[in-house]
Amino acid sequence: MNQKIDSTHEELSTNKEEFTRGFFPSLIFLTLVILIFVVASENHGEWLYKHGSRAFTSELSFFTLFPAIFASGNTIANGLQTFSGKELTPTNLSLEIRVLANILIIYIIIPTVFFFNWHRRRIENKSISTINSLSFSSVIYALSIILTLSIAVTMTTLAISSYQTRQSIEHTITIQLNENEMINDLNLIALNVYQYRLIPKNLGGGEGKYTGFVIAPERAKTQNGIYAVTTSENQVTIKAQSLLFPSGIINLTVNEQGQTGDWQYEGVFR
Amino acid sequence: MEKSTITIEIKQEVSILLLWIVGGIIFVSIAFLIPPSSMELWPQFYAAGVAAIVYLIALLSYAVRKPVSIKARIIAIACFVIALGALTFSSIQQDKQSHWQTDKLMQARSVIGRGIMLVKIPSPLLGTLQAFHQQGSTKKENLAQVFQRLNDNVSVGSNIYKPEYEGDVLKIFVQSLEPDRVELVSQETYVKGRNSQFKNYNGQKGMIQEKCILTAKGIKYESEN
Repeated sequence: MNQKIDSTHEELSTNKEEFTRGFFPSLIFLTLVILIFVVASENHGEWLYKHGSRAFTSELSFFTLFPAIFASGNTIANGLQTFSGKELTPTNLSLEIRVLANILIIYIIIPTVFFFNWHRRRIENKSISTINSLSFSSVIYALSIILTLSIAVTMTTLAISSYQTRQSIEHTITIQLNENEMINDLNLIALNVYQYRLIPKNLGGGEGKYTGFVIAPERAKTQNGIYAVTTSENQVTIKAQSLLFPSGIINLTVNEQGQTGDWQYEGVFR
Repeated sequence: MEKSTITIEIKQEVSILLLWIVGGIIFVSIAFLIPPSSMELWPQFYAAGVAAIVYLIALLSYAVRKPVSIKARIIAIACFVIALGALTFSSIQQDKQSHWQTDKLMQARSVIGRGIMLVKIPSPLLGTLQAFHQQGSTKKENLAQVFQRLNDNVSVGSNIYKPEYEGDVLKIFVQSLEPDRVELVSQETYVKGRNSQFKNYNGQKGMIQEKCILTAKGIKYESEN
């Protein structure tokens, strides 16, 4: 087999033409394939929408180097559906076909073409730089190298960046949740403050005044933050500090009608 | 070397290549179809992914066979392991991240839901408390009567909340109306609370439920689930 290929190589190398006979049709074919991929990736949603298909309405491109993004997008879409109180439905067939098609292209077809060409060229002891006869197989090999390397690089960079992104998103969401929990705590304190004003003194209230209000110990410190009040006759100022993010501070006032206002956010809550 | 022999060799190689591709496609497709259809795509993705890894390992073993040099083999295997490791790691990261985001989304939804209830449930009770104590030391009306007067004579089981915008699904029910005690309750219909066995006001199980109890001493806020 090796001898045959070597002989073939010798025979072919005697042909000094730079372009083999099938090169130009191959080039045109590949250009068309790439163009179709690009157009499909960029405009498939719009195109399918115009043509009445409801199957492919996702914003994701049909072709991606990272098929896990489809499964990930589907999980988040389910989360949004649940958030809105809508019923979840099983994944539709078109999405499953897209995922499978991408897996087959990325993990089966491209690596197989690459490894077969790689093996043959290893035996022939040729590298990509030695390709001087631009045949169909050379173009396919070059393309498979580009795609295989792109996939490998994408995987590696995604592995690093997705971890960093996750850390960043987790941090941001944790701050937001802590802030929302503290707002709930503050609204509860504001409720206690105002009802204190409405209750007569013989029942432990302020009888029309805020002065004398003391925050209950279980409200002064919760798992979210610590809270302190400053009272005057007709206004209360509440200051809250996050326990999770000590720089996160919220200040607000409660007016004589019990309405909260002047919400001020400091530190990580700004 | 005859030209026909070269053609046969190339045809053979193309045939083997096509055989590998077709075999891989069938193998991975079958694996993809094994998990039952669900709301998630991850089971299918992982099943196909495992099959693809098995296929790629077999393909690599085939590609690095002799007479490929040892140096080339080592480089190819090393690159393959790095890419495969990165693929596995990034896929698991994506899975974890998307589920984590979904969980946090629902956590945020529950915090928002509780926050809305916290503001909306006490509101009619504060008005009742104010009117009740404004009567002075001699009370003409008890708490229930004041509450009914201010809220269109509602009875136990009534929803006293008026939607403020289209799609506002909040409901506040009168749970108890006694001379010295008024209880209001509000619940979510699809956001889960802390205890999955908690029995909600409307008969559901495990949903968020918040409650306010009004007495002459004030409003007691209870986060029931």
